[in-house]
Amino acid sequence: MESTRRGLTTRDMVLLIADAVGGTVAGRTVMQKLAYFSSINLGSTLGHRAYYYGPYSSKVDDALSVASIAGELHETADRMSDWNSGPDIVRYTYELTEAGRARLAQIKERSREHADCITATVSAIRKAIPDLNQKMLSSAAKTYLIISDSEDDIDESDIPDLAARLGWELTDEQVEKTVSILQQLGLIEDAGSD
Amino acid sequence: MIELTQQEWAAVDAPVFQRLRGIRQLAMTHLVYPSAMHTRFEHSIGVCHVSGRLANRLKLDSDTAHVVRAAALLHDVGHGPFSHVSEQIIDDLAGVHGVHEAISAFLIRNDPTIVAALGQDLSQAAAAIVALEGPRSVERDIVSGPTDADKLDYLLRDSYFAGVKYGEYDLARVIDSARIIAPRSAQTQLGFDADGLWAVEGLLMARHHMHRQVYGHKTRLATDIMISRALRFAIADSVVDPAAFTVPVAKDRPDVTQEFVDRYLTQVDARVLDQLCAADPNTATGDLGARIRDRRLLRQTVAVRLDLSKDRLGDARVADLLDSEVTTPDVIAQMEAAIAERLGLPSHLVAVHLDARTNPTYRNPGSIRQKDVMIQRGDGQARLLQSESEIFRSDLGENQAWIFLYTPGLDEDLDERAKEELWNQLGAD
Repeated sequence: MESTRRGLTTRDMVLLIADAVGGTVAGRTVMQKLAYFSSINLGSTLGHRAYYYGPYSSKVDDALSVASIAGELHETADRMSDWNSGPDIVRYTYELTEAGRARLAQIKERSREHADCITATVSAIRKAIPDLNQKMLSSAAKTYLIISDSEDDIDESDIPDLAARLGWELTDEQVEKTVSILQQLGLIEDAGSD
Repeated sequence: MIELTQQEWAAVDAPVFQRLRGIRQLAMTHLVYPSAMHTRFEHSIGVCHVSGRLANRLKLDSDTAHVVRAAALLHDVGHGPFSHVSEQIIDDLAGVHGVHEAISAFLIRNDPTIVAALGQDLSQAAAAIVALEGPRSVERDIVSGPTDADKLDYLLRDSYFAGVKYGEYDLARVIDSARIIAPRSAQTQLGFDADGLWAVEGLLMARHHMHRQVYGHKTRLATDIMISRALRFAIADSVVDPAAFTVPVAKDRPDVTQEFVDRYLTQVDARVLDQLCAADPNTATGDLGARIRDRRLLRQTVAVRLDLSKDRLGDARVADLLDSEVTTPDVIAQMEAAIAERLGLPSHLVAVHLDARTNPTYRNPGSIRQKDVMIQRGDGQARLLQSESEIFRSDLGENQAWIFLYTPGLDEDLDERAKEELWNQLGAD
């Protein structure tokens, strides 16, 4: 799996994602989910696993830290309201710096195909979720993880129960929306398209 | 006084459990702290006991408590020789993570003596907890979580046997303040009452200090590096049975088989060390084995604070060194070989060790993660420990300021009215 993104590190990916969203990513959860969908389209894996707010990869968190140390991303932190109100208790914003853009140029030169794939993925996600709402992104990522981890074909109506087994709450209405988003992203087939 | 049920006694008598007497809890730490000779055997019994105390405190039903205790008792049954040293090697050879947990779960599910001791249902349920199957739950948190019975036991035990005080904390208070937190209806977790906050802080500080002073002691790290290196050479050169350290993999996950387990279980600390020492002394394996046996250890000769070296190395270089996908084990091996060549030393005697230290007071959750500890205040709200603790928070957190009202506390109605009155006096709408 790793070989399909040979030469592209997770740090490269987070820089490409930041670039693809216009230079600023608002929240680690958003970055986690964008990286999740990007890795799927790259035919790769970042080790995303089922955590509270959907698929989570420690590699992505580490890459954000290292890119910030390198001065390639500028990290700012804003205190958010109570933990119970949403995923990020502290909202971290990542902004591409000059050093980040300089490195991006090198990455794009050596990994044009990967860069294009990430740009296309993020662009498709923005079309489906224009404001990159983290709750919607999380729901979509949870739904995809459930579908892709299932060995058998599963019905849309089974997803809330399967989500509960992972400790997630997905309502029928949320599943309907996220399935439609995943179809728009081309990650699952539209049952009615034939 | 530790009490075991008949089923638990029968499991302890199983050969796979008795094998844990041959695996020291802290690998070769006794070369630094001479009395740290304790093994996974007594630790496992201790974890069972502590998990039972937690289960009682949380009023888990009897069946659930039995499952938790069985999982706690057997959680380390799949440990390899030298504990975490071989764990890393086995993971690396398989190219996957969590092999030791997978082996433990396999043994709990399939070892005939264990299954006969616990019964089919109990062994299956205990294995599921050890294998971290399903969503997070308070049962799982007791066995494997940020404040699990494993840590509650090993900090005190390791501290006692190492002859240090760093690992001490108030176990009774931690257990007494344990609560079931249900942040999501489908997921419960182990948290703590606000009154136990300082006991939990003590636990986390104990853990931090043990990591710095015992587990991360510079000479202890040398023993880990030497054993790890010797074992890797020994596996590559078939000085030890390579098949005993190479778990089959399927679908990017460990696929433990009986054939593998039969070979794996023969490996314990003393046997592996004997094999290393019996190797040709002119080989890297034999040389390292003899040096470990005779306590001629590598010495930490240089220490560079990378985070303070940005001026000298540049931000990007420091970041590259901290990026495990850039500074891979192969890259480190190249650095070691280059240094060895310059110094005229055999490369197996030069080790570069990167140690990224986590600031325990740095508030960096970003999102709720497995390692986060929840504290429940009287209002029923569960919050991250970092929100409540005066120690474990970053400069993002403002100073805490409280106002207290004292009344005779005659009844709930008076309490409610007192609360209301205080808010009125404070100027709340």
